Amino acid sequence: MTSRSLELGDEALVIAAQLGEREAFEALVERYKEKAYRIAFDFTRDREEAKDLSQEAFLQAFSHLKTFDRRASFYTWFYRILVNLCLDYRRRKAKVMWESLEEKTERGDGFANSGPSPVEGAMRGEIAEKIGVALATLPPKQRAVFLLKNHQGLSISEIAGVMKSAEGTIKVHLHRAVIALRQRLAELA
Amino acid sequence: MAMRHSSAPCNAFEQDLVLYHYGECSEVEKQTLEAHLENCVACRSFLQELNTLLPSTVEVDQPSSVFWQDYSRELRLKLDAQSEKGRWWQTIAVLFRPWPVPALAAAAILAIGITMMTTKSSDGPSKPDGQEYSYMASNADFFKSMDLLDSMDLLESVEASEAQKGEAAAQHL
Repeated sequence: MTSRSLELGDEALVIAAQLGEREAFEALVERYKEKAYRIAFDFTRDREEAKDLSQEAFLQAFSHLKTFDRRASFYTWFYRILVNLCLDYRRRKAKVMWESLEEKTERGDGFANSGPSPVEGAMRGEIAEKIGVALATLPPKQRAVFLLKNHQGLSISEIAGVMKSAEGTIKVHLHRAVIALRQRLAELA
Repeated sequence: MAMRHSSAPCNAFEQDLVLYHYGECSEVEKQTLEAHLENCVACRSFLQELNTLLPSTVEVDQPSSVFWQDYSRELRLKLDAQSEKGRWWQTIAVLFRPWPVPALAAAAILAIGITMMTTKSSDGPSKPDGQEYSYMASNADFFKSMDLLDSMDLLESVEASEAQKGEAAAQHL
């Protein structure tokens, strides 16, 4: 990758990438890969899953780059792809966990040796585990807004762009997420 | 203004306190809130709790430089695979997309031409009136309007052969 690519702004890189310059897209990857990974990690709390999800977001951005009209900034558009993938991951994971639970119930398996449940994990007194459990109980949009604000430091207006929602709605989600999180953590303490 | 001294903040300020913690209040909201905080122990306590609790929820993962090198390498390979797949689909699309319509059109024109010639030859040679040429021309316009430029060469060659046959029939007369 040339230093020229790394010096260019996002918009110039996007235009070049849309014209077929692969190097320009790779410069965008280098610029946003760590942020993308951290967002995915906030959702998954798993290094491999975070890597796969963030890479998948780049692949989707690459294949749909020609449809990006540049009315929003590249990172707003890209974060939207990423957050959608992360929310979908949460939905799929919840479904798999539920199906697994149903299978065990049908088989009449006991849970003594099936590993700790989220609540049991929290009871161990590990702060990170408790926070993970508390975050997992938040509704998807509240969780996304909270993670983008609290963990990634995006502004309300940036989050509104990513989520395609009004700023007032984002403020309400953030407020509710914080209050719910505080309450869950108090219950798990 | 009613002051509260429980652990719960004042309802009217709860959302603003969250936004204040994140530095997302307007200047007016900030001044109003700060004036309230001077006199409200519950809201001060709530804000203090947010200042301690919320940063502690962030779990930071710091992968090594090797991880990032692998990350970029893997992603490049995935992009290569995706580009290759894209090219493969483009090739297939190029093969199939423009051809069915012109091929069908050419076949239809040939069939019509042959039918007309057969009918005329059975009735005996007749003077060409130009109707068939205008028919072909109108078809050509139709396909041109559909941007089926690939079919133009084929249509022109059909038109030329039909014209030659017409001239030969006229000379025979």
